[in-house]
This record gives sequence, C-alpha cells and structure tokens, in this order.
Amino acid sequence: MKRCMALTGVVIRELYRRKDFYVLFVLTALITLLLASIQFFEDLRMVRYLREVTLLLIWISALVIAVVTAARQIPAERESRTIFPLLAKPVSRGEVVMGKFLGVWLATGLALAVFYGFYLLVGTFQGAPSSWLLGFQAFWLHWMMLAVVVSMAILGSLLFSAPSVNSTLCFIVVTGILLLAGHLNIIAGSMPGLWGALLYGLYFALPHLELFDVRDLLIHEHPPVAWGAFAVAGLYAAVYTTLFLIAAWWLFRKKPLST
Amino acid sequence: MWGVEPILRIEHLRVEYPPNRRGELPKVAVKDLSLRVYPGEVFGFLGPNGAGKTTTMNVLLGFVHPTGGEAFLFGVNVKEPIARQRIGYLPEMTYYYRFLTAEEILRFYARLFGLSSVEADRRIQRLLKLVELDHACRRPLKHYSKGMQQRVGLAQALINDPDLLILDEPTSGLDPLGRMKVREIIQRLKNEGKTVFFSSHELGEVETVCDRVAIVHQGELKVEGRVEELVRSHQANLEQVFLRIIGYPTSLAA
Amino acid sequence: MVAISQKAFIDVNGRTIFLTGATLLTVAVSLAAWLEPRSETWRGGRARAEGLLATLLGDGRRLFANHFFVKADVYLHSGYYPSIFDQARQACDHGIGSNPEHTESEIAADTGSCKSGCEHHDHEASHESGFLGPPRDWIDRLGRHFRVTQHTHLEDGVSESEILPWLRVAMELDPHQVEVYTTAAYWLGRRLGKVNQAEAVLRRGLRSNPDSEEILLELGRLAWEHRRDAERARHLWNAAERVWQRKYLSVNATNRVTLARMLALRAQMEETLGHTEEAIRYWSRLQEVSPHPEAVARRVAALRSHLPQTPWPADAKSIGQGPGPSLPSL
Ligand SMILES: Nc1ncnc2c1ncn2[C@@H]1O[C@H](COP(=O)(O)OP(=O)(O)O)[C@@H](O)[C@H]1O
Ligand SMILES: [Mg+2]
Repeated sequence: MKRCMALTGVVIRELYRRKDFYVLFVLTALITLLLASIQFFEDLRMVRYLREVTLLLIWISALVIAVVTAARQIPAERESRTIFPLLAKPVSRGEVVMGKFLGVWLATGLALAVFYGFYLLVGTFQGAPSSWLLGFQAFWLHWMMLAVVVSMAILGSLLFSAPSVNSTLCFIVVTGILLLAGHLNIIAGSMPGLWGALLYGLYFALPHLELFDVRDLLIHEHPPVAWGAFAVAGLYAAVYTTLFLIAAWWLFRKKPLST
Repeated sequence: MWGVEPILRIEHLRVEYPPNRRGELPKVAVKDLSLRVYPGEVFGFLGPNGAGKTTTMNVLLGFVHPTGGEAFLFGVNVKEPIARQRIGYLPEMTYYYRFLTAEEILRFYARLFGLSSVEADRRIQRLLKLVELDHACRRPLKHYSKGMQQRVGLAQALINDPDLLILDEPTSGLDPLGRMKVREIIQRLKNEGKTVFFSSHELGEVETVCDRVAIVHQGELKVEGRVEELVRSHQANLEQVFLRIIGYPTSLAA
Repeated sequence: MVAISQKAFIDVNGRTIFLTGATLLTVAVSLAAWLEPRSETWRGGRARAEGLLATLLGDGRRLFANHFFVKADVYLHSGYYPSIFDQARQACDHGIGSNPEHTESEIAADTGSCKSGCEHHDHEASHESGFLGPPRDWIDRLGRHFRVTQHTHLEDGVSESEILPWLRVAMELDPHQVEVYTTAAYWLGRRLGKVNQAEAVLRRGLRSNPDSEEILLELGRLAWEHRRDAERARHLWNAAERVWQRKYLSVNATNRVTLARMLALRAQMEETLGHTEEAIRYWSRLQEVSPHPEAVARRVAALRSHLPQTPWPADAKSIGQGPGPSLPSL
C-alpha cells in the first residue's frame, strides 16, 4: 500500500505540473462567468441554463482529464522507459496498476472538487445557491463514475498500444454508455429474437454510467438522492472498477517488456 | 570462495522473442545460459551488440519471462518482486520522469523500497553529492543533459544501498570523463563490498575493474573465468580473446 | 532516441493545437455571446443571424434550434422528459409549444387569468401516469433515484423565465421558426407579465419573418389584451388576415387553426367594445371554419337577440381545439 501511494503521488504531481487541468478549468470558468454576465431578457431571473452549461463543461472537462491522464500512464512509462527502473524496484505489476489507478482517480477527484466548488460558489454569487447536500452527492457520484472510466482507460491502455486510439475509444464508449445504456432495455424489448436477447445481455453487462449523472436534479432544484440508492450506486461503481482493474492486472502481469 | 552461496544464479536460461510476422520462427535471444555471480565480485558480462546481454538482465529484473530455465537473486526466484529488494539497476538507456526534480525522483524510489523519510533524505543528500548533482537537484529533469540524467540513473540505482548492482552498459554514450567517473564509482562500490554485475563491450575498462568476466555471443555463453586466467590461458590480451571467441580472425586484428 | 523525441514533439504539438483550438473556440463563443445583445442596438438586426452561424453549422442549425426548443420544454417540466426511446410516452399536450391552444380555450372560456390554465395542468398531471411506467428491471429501478420522475410544471410566475434562454438560443440558430417567437412571447407576456419584452421578441421575429400571420396575430393580441389599443390590434389582425389570404387559397386542417383564432380574437374584441354588428360578422365567419360551429352559432344567436352576455356554456370550451401547433417533433 505504501508503494501504491508512492506511485499515486507521482501521478498527482504530474497532473498539477501539466497545463491541461488549468486550461480546462480556466475555460470552464471563463465561459460560465461570461454567460452569467449576459442578460437574455431584462430583469428576469435565469440561472438554470447557466447551471446546465457549467455542469456540461464540468462533465466534459472531467472526462477529458480522466481519460487522457489514465490512458497516458502506462504507455508513457513505456515510451519514456521509466517503467524499467520502476519495475526493477520491489513492486509487483499489480501494485503498479493499482497505484496508477489511485493516482489518476485521486488527481481527477481533486480537479473535480475544484470544479464543483466553483459551481457552488457561482450559484451562491448568483443568488441562487444549490443545495450543498445535493451538490456533494453530485460530486461524489461523478467521482465514482470516473473511477469506472479511469479503470476502463487503464485497461484500454494495455489493450491498445497507441494512447490516442485508446483515448478516442474510451470517449466513444463512455459517451455511448451515457447516452444509450439506459435505453437499451427498451430497444431490446422492441427487437425480437437473438438481437433482442443480445442487447438485453449488453444492457446488463455494461456499466451504467448514466446512473451517476444527477445534473437534472441539481439544475432543477430537486431534493437530494436517497442515501440507500446513493450507497448502492457507490457499490455498483466499485464492482465495475474492480473488474476492470483485475482485467488490467491480468493483462499487464504477463506482458513482456523489453528494453 | 566457491563454497559461498551465489548472489546471482542463472540456470539453463532460454529466452525466445515471438516472431514479428506469422510463419517466422521465434527469435532465440538466449540459449541455455548458466551463470553464477558470488558476493563481492565485480562481474563483467561481455558480448558484441545483439549477444543477449540486455535480454539476460531483463529476465533478472522480471521484465521478460524466460522461455526455459530459471534465474535467482539472493536465492529467490526472479518471478517474486521481493527478489529485487536488495538490487540496484541502471538500464541501458533511460529517461526519467521529466516533470519531477532529481530529488523527487529519488524520494519516490526510496518510498518504493519502504525507506523512512528521514533515512531517505539522508541517502538522497549523500547520493546527490556522490553523482555531483547537488547543485541541480531542484530543477525538473527535462532541463538535464544526457550525462546528468545518466548520473540520476546511477543515484537511483543506489538509493536502497543495494548488495547487488545490475548495470546495463553503464558507460555507453558518455564522454571519457563520464566513463572515468562511472569506473570510479564501480571501484568504490567494490571496495564497500558490493557485488556488481555489469554488461559492456568496452574491453579496456572491463580489464581494469572486473574480477571475473563472461563472454556471450549469439545468446550462448562462450567463456567464463577470472580475467588474468583467461589472458594467461589464451596467451593474448582480453580484446584478442574476445575477438577470437566471436569468430573474428585475430591475426588481422593483432 | 530521435524517434522518441520526434514523437514527443508531435505529441506536444498535438496538445498545443488542441488547447489552442479550444481556447479560440471559447473566445469566439464568448465574444459572440457577449456582443450579440449589444450589436442589436447598433444594427438593424435584420438577418444578421444568417452570418457566422449559418456558415458554421449550415442547415444543421435547424436541428440544433429544434433541440433547444425541446430543451425549453424539458425545463418547463423541470427535467422530467421522455427520451426518443420512451415509446410509451404519453404526450403532454400542454407543453411549451402548445400555448396558442391554451389561449384559445381561454378565449372560449372567456377567462384571461392563469387560474383555469393551472387547474388544467394539475388535472392533466394527475391523470397522466407518466411515460416511465413501472420499473422494468433493477437497473431501471435504481436509476430512478437519480433522475427526475415527477411530472411538474414551472408555474409560480417567476421560475418560468428559466425556459427563456433556450428559446433565445433557438431563435438565434433558426430565425425562421415562428413558433419559437410566439412561444417566447406567450411566456414573457402572459406568464411573466413582461409585455414590452414579449413585444420586442415578436418584432424581432417579424423582422426575420415578415409574412408570418401568426406573429402578426400575436402582436395584435398583445396590443388589445395588454394595451387596450383596439385600433392597433385591428390593424395588425387585418394585416395577419391579408397574409393568410395571400398564402393559402383555401382552408384546410392545418391553416384553419390560425384563421379561427384570428377570427375568435377579433370577434371577442368587437363584442367587448360593444360593436355587436362587427362581432356578429366575425363570429359568423368563425362559424364557417370552426370544428364546433354549433357553439359559435349559439353565441351568434345570443348576440342577435340582444341578450345580455351570458356566461359561456361549458361545452364551448372545445372551440377550435383542433390540431394546434403541437410539440416539436423529437
Ligand atoms: N523485443 C524483442 N523482440 C525481438 N527480438 C529482440 C527483442 N529484443 C532483443 N531482441 C533480439 O535479441 C537479441 C539479443 O538482444 P539484446 O539482449 O538486446 O542484445 P545486447 O544487449 O547484448 O546487445 C538480438 O538479436 C535482438 O535483435
Ligand atoms: Mg544491450
């Protein structure tokens, strides 16, 4: 565990020394503040669209940070050959996978916390504060979802050698899941025979990342999520994350690395 | 000496690389290699380019899994990560984390060995002085020259105060001054009672620092022994022995 | 090594390009958003939306415009909205786009207040079991904790303004979708009491769509209902009718609705002003195009016999409830 944390520290340090996060954050903040300064119609209170835009930007930024950082980790170690001095230390490959995962996940969590903090602050300054409880739930669920995404991207980085290919595929898969996974059961129901059964199988096999998206509740000032469901969602994310990490470890364990 | 348990033991090692294209035969990089290195020795692992030196070291470090045979460090199979607890390794060529400073890199590796932070700090200061990087230790590595990076490599190989050092061509790509410094450090380690296993094709430096050498060619061990014995039995200097073994007509070379 | 450094170079380059691109895009969007409300004051605003957006998005902007129009409807329902996959959805026929229908039943019911409309909503909401149906499986059941599952409407007279930004964006993207202007004007004028802004929106719509009888109709209604300017209302409604006559040669199921509304409003106004002759003339014309001519006929008869105005009979509520402008197709 100590060794995992050492690896984690390097990943976090890398993230805050690179410019990506700052650029995305500044862009999000800039767009939000500019939009906030626009008056579409005089003296009417309009905050929900602003919440929507900010949250959308946060979701995109967080996804970009998580996928790109996770997909880069192991390929970059191989490309820059830092993997050799690293693995020459008494660390197992499982620890490397775990350390990389924890590092990327914690780092994106930090970035996410900054983003959500900004979101809640803007809401407060706009005179339309969101529920801090629901805000926290939204952050937490989002972070849990990113755990699945990060582990998926790490697994992908061991399947596809080019990080760009892996990142692109991850974006497509995650976006596809967010948009479609929740409706696959309906589509499957309308499709007879083998295809329907296959789609139904896919519906139950895919990680339902859209569960973790409570933006609509946040935007439209609905009450917080029930804690029971909240906990179940956390467990659900943990199961998929574990599965992806085990698969990643399995692939990495046997992979020959030659200088 | 021969009664002592070897610190590094390789038994009938065979390594094949999968073919690049279908239908080709797998590339055999190492064939039936057996080797022992004893505590306190400086062991030169010699061979021309492509002989299989790096491949052998990759097996010792667990990067590549042997096709056949086994290898042990301190009596522990190299499959176990713990076998690497007491070794230091300098890769043939390496780039380190560009966004970290030399100090941070060393601290990171120290943590991987489970060193306490006080102990780590002490060693880091000592090593940075040893490799003469104490003035630059707070700059990220992307601003380092090649020679400086190589010295960071040497420092990280020594962070755990290892009993066995595995150095893959530690002097390649360095200027004469850099080479001399590396030789000095190897000598110093030897004086401290460390075991050094290093590969090279620079025979001059080998002759001055090595106790024993092995010469491999095309993946096979050709000869092994103490430097002076080899020179005596072949009636030639080490360079001539080497050339003869790899099938180069020594009459021309001589 | 050369290969690696070259690759690193390309990598860095790619990222720089990406980041620069993102920055430029943001700056462009922000600038456009920032300048847009201002530019209108110094330019006539005529057809200006055709410029950058049209070239950037081409005809795709219509699709986007429609998307944002739907978004406004989603907002009206506080996020409770069926996706294209929810086949079993039951249309919420009092959605954002269907306001003219409201008004017509209101005209018919002779009540201008929001009251009846709101009751109408509640009634609808309660008997509508929702598009969701019972959970299909455990994932669906779990998912409902994280989604909006209550059918509600914004109707406190303040929060309705939340839908407006999307209508504004839709206008921007497709200045020729008349429905967007009339809808925005409805919410601004009738629900939020911002008559001037409602008029501004309609005027803006008229600039992009000079021959829209619906916008003229709504402008006329604003003039009468909010400003009590009968002369102006008549003028606008006449213009609307002229446009209608020019556009359509005969009455059919679709264009009938506008004409009927126009006639009903006109008849109503004349009646209120005590111009019984005029009123009868318009009611009679309405009778010809209304799907419920009997109710209109009764009203005409009542007027003819110079009876004091009776409360409107309940069944006449249905006047003109033909296929109004429905929800935008999803
Ligand atoms: N990843 C690899 N795939 C295929 N062949 C390899 C690979 N790495 C090394 N080889 C081959 O194995 C042989 C030994 O290589 P290596 O151990 O690097 O030699 P040395 O370090 O002695 O110069 C060479 O012929 C080389 O071409
Ligand atoms: Mg080599």
